[in-house]
Amino acid sequence: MFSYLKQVDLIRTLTASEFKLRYRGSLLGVGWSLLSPFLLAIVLYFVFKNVFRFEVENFAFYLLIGIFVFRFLSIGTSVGMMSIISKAHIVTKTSIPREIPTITTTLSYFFSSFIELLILIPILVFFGVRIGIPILLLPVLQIVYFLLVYGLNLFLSAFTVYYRDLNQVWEVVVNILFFASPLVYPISIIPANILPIYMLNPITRSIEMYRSVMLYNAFPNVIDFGYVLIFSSIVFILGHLVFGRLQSRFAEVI
Amino acid sequence: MIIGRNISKMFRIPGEKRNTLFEAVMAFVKGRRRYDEFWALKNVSFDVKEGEIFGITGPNGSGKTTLLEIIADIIYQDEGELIVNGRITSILALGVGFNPELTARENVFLYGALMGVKRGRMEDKYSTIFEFAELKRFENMKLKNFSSGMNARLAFSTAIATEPNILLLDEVLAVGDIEFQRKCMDEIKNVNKNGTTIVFVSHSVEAVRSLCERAMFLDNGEVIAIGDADEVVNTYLNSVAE
Repeated sequence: MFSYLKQVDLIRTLTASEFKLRYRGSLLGVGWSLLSPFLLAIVLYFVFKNVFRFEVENFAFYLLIGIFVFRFLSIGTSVGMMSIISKAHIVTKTSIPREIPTITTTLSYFFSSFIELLILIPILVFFGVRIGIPILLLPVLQIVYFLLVYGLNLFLSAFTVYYRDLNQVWEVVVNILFFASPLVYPISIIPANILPIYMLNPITRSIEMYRSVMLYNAFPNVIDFGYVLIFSSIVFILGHLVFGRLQSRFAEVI
Repeated sequence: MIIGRNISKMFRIPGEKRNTLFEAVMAFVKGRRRYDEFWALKNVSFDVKEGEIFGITGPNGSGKTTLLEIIADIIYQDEGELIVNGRITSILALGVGFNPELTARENVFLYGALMGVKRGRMEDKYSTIFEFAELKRFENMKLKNFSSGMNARLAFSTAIATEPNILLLDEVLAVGDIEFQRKCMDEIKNVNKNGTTIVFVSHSVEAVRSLCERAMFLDNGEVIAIGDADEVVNTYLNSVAE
């Protein structure tokens, strides 16, 4: 099931070329991928600060971190779910493991997302946020998050081969997740009686952990970490099982 | 060495096209899940011996490419057994994985990676590839600016340089000018002399006759003749003449 992971050379080469292609020919390079979340954050900041009047310390950064973290899921899955059908020629003409296109696309967004978060750190420091030892956990959080996104992409990319309109459905799900996770509002506004259901969402706990290491200079909650790790691992393994079942007819159906 | 025993392959031809979730849900609601069966290969058995050039010929739609795709591990047979010894490189289409936005140089390494060749090995082969393709001057040009002939030359040179144990070729020689075609033929014979087993699919009887020692004639997914290339080609020609 995981034997394709041994093809490190192939995964590295494909990820690098995908990464290169995304930023080639653009003047600002990685800068573009930062511009849009910043603009989104500014808009949301004015809306939620002035209209809804949430009282959150450092609300601008609270928003920014939420949006940056969510981007890996939203963009990573919307592009990742197309990874098999957009590389149809690789599926129909070579015998490389079918997981490879999906893992390389996910990895290239993993690195983009990580770079975006790293760029955010000096900005936070500049505006007086205290960053300490907990920040060293950032890569760990990102890797656990990767397991979740990659697991989802395995499901989505495999089903997309059979059902081309799945992306329409998934887009709605991502929009729901956007508002079902504490990106633009504080968790404190969630009524106590639905809080237990609300906290089932792993994105919620994940974003909270990113905020604790990047904004509050604190170690993440152990329960949050355990929950997200177990949830992500289950999605990761189930994704492989489903993908393995569906992949045998990829070349015929695609 | 490749051994195939009673290989059969069935394709599902959907009664109605169902490519979207919406259509699938609608069909499920209506209670219709019909598809027709189409057997592209029926009980195909063959042996390809170590170090030979084996031809597969037959008219369009006879199952040649399907068989090659099964050998290349791209699709899977429904029945029968296939044993393959050795690392396969398939050239089912030229320039698989080539990206028009990358330079020729970058594409060569990308292709090498797809074929399972280590980067260091590709670096050793690098100048040979460009010499053979006669494209040394264009190594830093983006592939989108290549002509289709240049593209095919680069692809063939790269594929052949990956030094596979088994090489699968699907009608790819119809590329480039006559001179390059002849060069390809020579190079195929050359890698074969160095020990590569080759499976060659073509409906050009001339190419099969001149290149292959043994061959197989497929029609409607069934083996009509297998054995010495000249005899197989004659059987094929006679069946067409009838």
